[in-house]
Amino acid sequence: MSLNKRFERFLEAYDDFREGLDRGLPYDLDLLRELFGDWRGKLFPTEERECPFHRVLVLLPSNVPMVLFQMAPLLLSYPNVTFTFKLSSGERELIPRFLGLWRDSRMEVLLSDREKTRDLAGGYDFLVGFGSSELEPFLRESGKPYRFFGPRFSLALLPEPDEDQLLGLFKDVLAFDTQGCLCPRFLFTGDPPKLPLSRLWEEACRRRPPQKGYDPLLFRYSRAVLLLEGKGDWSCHDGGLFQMERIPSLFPPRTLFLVSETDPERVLTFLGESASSVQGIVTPQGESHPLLGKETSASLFSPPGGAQHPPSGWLFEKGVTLENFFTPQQNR
Amino acid sequence: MLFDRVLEQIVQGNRFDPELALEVAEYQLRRVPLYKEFAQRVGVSLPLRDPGQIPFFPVEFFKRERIFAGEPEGFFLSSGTGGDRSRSYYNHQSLELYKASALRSFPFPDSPLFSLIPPVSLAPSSSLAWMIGAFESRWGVTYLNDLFEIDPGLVLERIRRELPPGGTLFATSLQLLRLAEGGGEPLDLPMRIIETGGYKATGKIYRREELYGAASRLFPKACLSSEYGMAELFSQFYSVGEGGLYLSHPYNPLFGEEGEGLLQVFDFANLYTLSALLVPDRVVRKGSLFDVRGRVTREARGCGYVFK
Repeated sequence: MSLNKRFERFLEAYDDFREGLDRGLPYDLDLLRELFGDWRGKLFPTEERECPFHRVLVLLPSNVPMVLFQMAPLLLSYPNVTFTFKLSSGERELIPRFLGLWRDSRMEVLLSDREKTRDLAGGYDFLVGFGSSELEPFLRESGKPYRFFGPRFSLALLPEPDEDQLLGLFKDVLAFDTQGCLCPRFLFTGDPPKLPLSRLWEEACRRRPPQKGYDPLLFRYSRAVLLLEGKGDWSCHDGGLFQMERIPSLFPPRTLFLVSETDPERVLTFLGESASSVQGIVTPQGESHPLLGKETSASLFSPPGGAQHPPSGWLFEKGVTLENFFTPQQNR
Repeated sequence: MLFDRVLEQIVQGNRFDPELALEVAEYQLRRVPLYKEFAQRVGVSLPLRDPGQIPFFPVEFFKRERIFAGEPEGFFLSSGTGGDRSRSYYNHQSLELYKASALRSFPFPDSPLFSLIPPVSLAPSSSLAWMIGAFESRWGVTYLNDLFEIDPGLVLERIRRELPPGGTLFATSLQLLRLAEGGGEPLDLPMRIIETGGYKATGKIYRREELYGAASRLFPKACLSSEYGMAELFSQFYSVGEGGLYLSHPYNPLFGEEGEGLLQVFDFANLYTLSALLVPDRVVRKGSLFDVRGRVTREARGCGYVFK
């Protein structure tokens, strides 16, 4: 089957899937529709490529349903590869539904726990892992070539944000209840108390309510801790907004930390070794920032409201492209 | 003196004393700066007018701050590993309150007592070992093990040899699991086992039914109970209520609404640390009874970075 034909079938499945999204899923449906709608316009067929590996196991992260779709150009570009997706429980309602519509025999689903996956890894000749740092030893010990996308977080640097920028940023923060690596966890800004935080945060939380699985008790306990750790609190009943002077001890879902700092050097000092785990940076116009771009691992700059909308060819990490995706990482 | 009235509440109190609770909370607010700061952050100032105003302090801070009203004489360490262990400071008066509370809440004093928890002389930073020591001084306890670690074969042999019918055995959850996994022959002895929690080292969260199921295969005639305690609390709860629910007392009542919530306990025995504690355990409360449904602290999931 030609690349164009495969792409056509993918888009048909994608459209059917998007239209069939229903309330049974554990995610914010409006957000999913928005993301799928946006991505529909960005997807394009790429050229066909040869891959030295034929059976690829992809260990998808939990609670981050967009990863497979972000990989779509890759899946379409390599016709000689069979991809097997190991799913976590959150994705078991979503991904199989999509793959069922796609009906591409190269795409398989694996439902098993981590221990069984360890045994199964032998049946594949390339491994791709997303998620917690516990995963990398497993990939390394498998003895197979692999690519690991480790845990990441995002941040925003908005020295003097206006209301639209704040609302856009809050929308980015609350996507998937702040569980994805593209959700900003820190806003570095001038003087937090001068911003209209309470009203805008409450409005953002109302527009993007908690997903299924949100735990109000976890939020309540964390808020009690962060109240004392922080220097300011503009939280509402289901979203945390705290001013901090140092990295907090807890990172509950639906929470953004404000830091009164706009000097990039001092932002880096604040982040310390976490700078090497930055995924995306929100800036006023989505413009890249030379120092932060160089000194952090950020692979994406976006404007407020755009953090969840990476471009189609973006493959999670600096320097990773469709061409070099299957170049194995050096074992570290 | 406040100490004497608190001791009397623990030893004899038959109902929660709200006036005494207010006095205790104010005493602590005046002497523990971090508690005072917390109260200010939640909008509470002195004087307190009713118990509903008492701020419940998250136990998290016991891991990194010295929380004590005065000069401590020592501290207990919570179970766990590395730097994530809580320190519960004490002086000789807090140990007296601890002992009084432990003796009063223990529901099976007439049974011969045996322990897999090591003697306090061998585990001086363990509040659990100290509690068993309090039982030893009052009722006598036979120790069947010198460490928290156990050799399942040896320990099971000692239990077979020494535990009489009707005896009560204290064991941590981890010790029970190790025994159950040891593959020994089931012990057909009518006995009581009190599991005292503590399985953090396994890196896995066990439900109570899971633990009881494993223990029952090895001890089919044992009656299983649980003790809920922690280094930060000088009082304990035992699962002796209807349906295996934990029972609170007039000296360690639970606050908050009925139904599901966080554990909010007012422990009079914590006079010299903090009595009103907020614990990240999900509980379902009905009157003085409650069930514990596990920690609310979320496990690391997704691709989000975990800050250290």
